[in-house]
Amino acid sequence: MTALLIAIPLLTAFLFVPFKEKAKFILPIIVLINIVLLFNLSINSVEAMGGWKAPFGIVLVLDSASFYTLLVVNIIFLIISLIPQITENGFSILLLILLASTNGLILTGDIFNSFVFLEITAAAAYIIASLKKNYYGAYKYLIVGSIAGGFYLLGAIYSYVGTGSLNFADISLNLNSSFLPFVSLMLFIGLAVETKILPLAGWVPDVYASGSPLTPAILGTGVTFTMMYLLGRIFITIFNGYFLDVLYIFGLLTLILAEIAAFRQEKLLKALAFSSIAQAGLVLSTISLNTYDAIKAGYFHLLNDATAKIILFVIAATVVGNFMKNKTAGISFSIASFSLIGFPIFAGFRSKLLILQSSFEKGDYLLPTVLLFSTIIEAAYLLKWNVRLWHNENEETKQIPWNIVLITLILALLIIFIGIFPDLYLKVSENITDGLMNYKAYVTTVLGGM
Amino acid sequence: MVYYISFILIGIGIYGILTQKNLFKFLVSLTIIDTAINIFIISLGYIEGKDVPIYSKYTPVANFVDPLPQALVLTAIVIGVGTLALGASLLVRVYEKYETLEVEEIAVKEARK
Repeated sequence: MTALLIAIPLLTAFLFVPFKEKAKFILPIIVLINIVLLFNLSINSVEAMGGWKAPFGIVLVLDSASFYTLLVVNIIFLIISLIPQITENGFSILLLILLASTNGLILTGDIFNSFVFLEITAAAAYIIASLKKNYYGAYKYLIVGSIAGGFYLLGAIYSYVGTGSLNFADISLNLNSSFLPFVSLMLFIGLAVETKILPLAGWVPDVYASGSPLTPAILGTGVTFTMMYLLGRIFITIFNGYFLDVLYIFGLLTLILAEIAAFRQEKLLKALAFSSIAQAGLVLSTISLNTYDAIKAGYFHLLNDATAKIILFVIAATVVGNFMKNKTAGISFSIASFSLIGFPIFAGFRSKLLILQSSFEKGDYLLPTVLLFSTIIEAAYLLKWNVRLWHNENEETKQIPWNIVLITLILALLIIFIGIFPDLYLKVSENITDGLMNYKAYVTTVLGGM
Repeated sequence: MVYYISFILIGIGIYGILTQKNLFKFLVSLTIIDTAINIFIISLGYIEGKDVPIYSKYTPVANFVDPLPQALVLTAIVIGVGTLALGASLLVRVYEKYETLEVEEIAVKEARK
């Protein structure tokens, strides 16, 4: 049953290749079917593909972490599919393939299988990145992404040499400790490109600032969430916290350098792309504190960031000119940017507060310092852009479609709702954290009572 | 040793990506890295003096090399070819748009826009 989550979108994608124009209408239906199917599956179930049991065959694992990540990613796809104007003809098929591969990436319990899904995700992402004739940016992304994929493959193969198995649970039990540094370094290089960690995130501004609303709206939210989940699964569940102190340093560097770079940008979309990198760095360093509260705060912040980033990217890429003729869209944009800065009553305030609390509890003062400093920079440039967009003298403003206005307004109201009653998002991130941290339960679920 | 060959090839590929100024040479370097990784994986499964991993009446005793890396490499080759084709088709589009494949000339044309 679990395999249908991957099979249905993949099959539909290939069936609809002759009818490219119609794929637009099938996308929301498929995503809805996926979500309904997801609620009918039982949590903590393991499905062995082809009947080969856990250490030998490929397994699909549905525990509380992968269930809630699937839910979040599918809802993001649903939101994107409800704004068909931003999807060019034929790209709905790519969204279907992307949906299939992200679902597979979340569900899989096999490291080579995760490499395959990583490459499919990346291939779909390269093509989505080439929207609006941005071929050069997409090509750079392809080169960097493929090299990273090669390193990920090397890491997977080394873990096979170190254990004799490709199964996540088996690797976490049996990996020879002399292999750990190399394997985790290789896997981190592979994932750092997709999670946008700085030395390897040079492609992000070119790809996100292509002018197409779809590219950043899906790559910066759904795909980033999937990759962050995979990173947590590998480094927290499998390696059990090993190597996380290196990730912490990289996260901090990414946070501060990307915020400074965002401050210096002349284009709004580029500034938002760098802000996206910075938030990824913040989430990474919060997760790598490796306490229950810290991981919970990290994923909570990732959810808030994804909600705000959909609004920001979609509006920034569709609105030309000023907000005076598009007041509702302008208000949603301002709410989302205030949430990103972390003003009280908006959702971002809650998550930044939780991050500060959890890092103080851990006895770590470096992360709060860097976070507060970068928040000042963030506030400076986001307020600058808000002022510029509300008060410029551009007469060429055109109306934006009603469904974009409506959906961004609903998301903006959700941000305020989460800011006042954060229980909804907290429940999701608590469940993800439970699934990621409880590594003994993961191993027993996959390998059976051992 | 085959390991050394594959690591030298990976080094050549990374050197190419870091130093070359032509977009097509990036793709060539990428292919070299892919091939090197595939050679490395194959060489991990090789055991001196063992047979091809196929069961038949001529091999009653399973005295085989490790077949799993070979299965993995098949998948990795297919993925590599797919990426190569996608990269080549993107390059055609890049050439149609800028009429050059040199990084510096593209940067000049981008800045002028």
